[in-house]
Amino acid sequence: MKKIIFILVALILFSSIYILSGQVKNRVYKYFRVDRVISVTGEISKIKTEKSYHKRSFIVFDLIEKKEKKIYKIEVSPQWFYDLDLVEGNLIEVKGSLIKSGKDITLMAQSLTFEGKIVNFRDRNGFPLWRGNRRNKGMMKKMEKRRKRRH
Amino acid sequence: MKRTIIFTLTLIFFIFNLRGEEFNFGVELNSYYSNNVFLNSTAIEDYVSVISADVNYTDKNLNFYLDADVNLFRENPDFNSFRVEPGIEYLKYLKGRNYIYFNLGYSFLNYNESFTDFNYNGPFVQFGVKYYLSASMLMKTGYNFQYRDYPNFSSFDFQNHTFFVEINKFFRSQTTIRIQSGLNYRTYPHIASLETDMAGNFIYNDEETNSMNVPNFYSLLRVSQGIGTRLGLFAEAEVRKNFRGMENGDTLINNSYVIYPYNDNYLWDGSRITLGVRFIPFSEISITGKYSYFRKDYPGIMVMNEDGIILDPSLERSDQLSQFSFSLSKKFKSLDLYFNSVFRDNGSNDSFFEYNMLTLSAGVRYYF
Repeated sequence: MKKIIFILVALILFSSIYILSGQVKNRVYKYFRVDRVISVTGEISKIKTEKSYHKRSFIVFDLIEKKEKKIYKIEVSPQWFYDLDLVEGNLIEVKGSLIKSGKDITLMAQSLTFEGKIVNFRDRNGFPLWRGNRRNKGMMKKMEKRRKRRH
Repeated sequence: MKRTIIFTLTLIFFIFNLRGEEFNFGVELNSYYSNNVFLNSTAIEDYVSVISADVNYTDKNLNFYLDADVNLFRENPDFNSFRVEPGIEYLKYLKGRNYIYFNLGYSFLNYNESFTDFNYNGPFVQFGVKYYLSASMLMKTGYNFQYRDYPNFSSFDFQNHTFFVEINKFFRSQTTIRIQSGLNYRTYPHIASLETDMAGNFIYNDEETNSMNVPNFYSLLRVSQGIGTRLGLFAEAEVRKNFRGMENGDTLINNSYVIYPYNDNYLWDGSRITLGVRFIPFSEISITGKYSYFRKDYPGIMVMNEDGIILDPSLERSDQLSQFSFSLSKKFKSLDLYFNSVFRDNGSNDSFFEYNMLTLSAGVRYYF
């Protein structure tokens, strides 16, 4: 009896590892790497929302770099966290982690700087400010406005 | 023993789950020195500490929150206050980057013994829409309602309806032009009649009350210019028109000399010009400097002498205010440090409101 249970448990374990490893192979994981953080200044050519990371709507910019006119894809934050009035044509400085995949150059934004303002999206280690701190920017900013309006 | 361990582990697991995704707690400590805390010629100085905390629980588009703050005055502890505000926010993103925002809350404010007449409580509602009219044009519009009940002095009770529309247009020259207009309609539903006794002292007659409506319209033009990414300049011009002054408002005016904010944005009439600069000299350090000039008239509010008697011939109060402000902030991982200073020079035809004020404040904000 004990042998049968042992074989069953072993089978379940091996099959789980096999299934999971297949899923991992099929996914493309992107990590924020601190050693690949760069700053790019350019004009926003397009602002869009994309479904990514657990089917969440993510704010994504196309940015035309100022000097060499290279096009960068900027992954900013989930839509609920984003509360800026930026539009196409705005000049911004993006600090973020560089990811190259074929011809695509992507920056996972750590901060945006424009018109003398800095807006952070990730901390120094690249940890997203929207994780474990859901109100921090989106609703938080509205709360600040709410306070200001009443006082 | 086994039960205790299971209970403790379950509790830790529960707290970590709350902390991780939906639960959020923030504290802020701000201290300031002001050489004129009441903004009048008495020039009473004080050191004030403000401790604020907010707890938030977020579930999808909903956010439940509880804000609380304590104001502690070192030299004037009678003015210490405690405010609590529970509320709920709803934020729904629509197609594109458009959204609707709804906020419902309830405020309680309590002062220490001598100022309990200014205690209030009441609900407020805010509704806002952000909508992109085109790739470079953005519209924001909203409606706010607020009701305040002053249980110890019902003459102060008021309700406020505010409606505003704002259009932002961006140009390729990195120039943004904003036009905002709004209408505020404030009603004081039960103002006690003001009478004088034989000795000349004021008496408030609660049995005979009247109401007062103060419609106020404002319009604002803002031009901001980015120079590179680390320097921003902005200029604002604002006009406010008070269609009806503080008629029948003697009771309010008589009490307002201490703290009642009847000179808030919706009760004055006049204009404002602001010039400002924002600058990032080093990474993560932000500096803002601003100068504003106000010309404020107070329709229906007469200039009084030191005994509170209206001057003869009567004259409506009129102020000119110059204000300089400077702020510096530095962001760390979960920590914001900031320093602010404000200098005001207020000239008025009412000598009680001839004053200067300097405020220096510093604070730290932390999010867990």
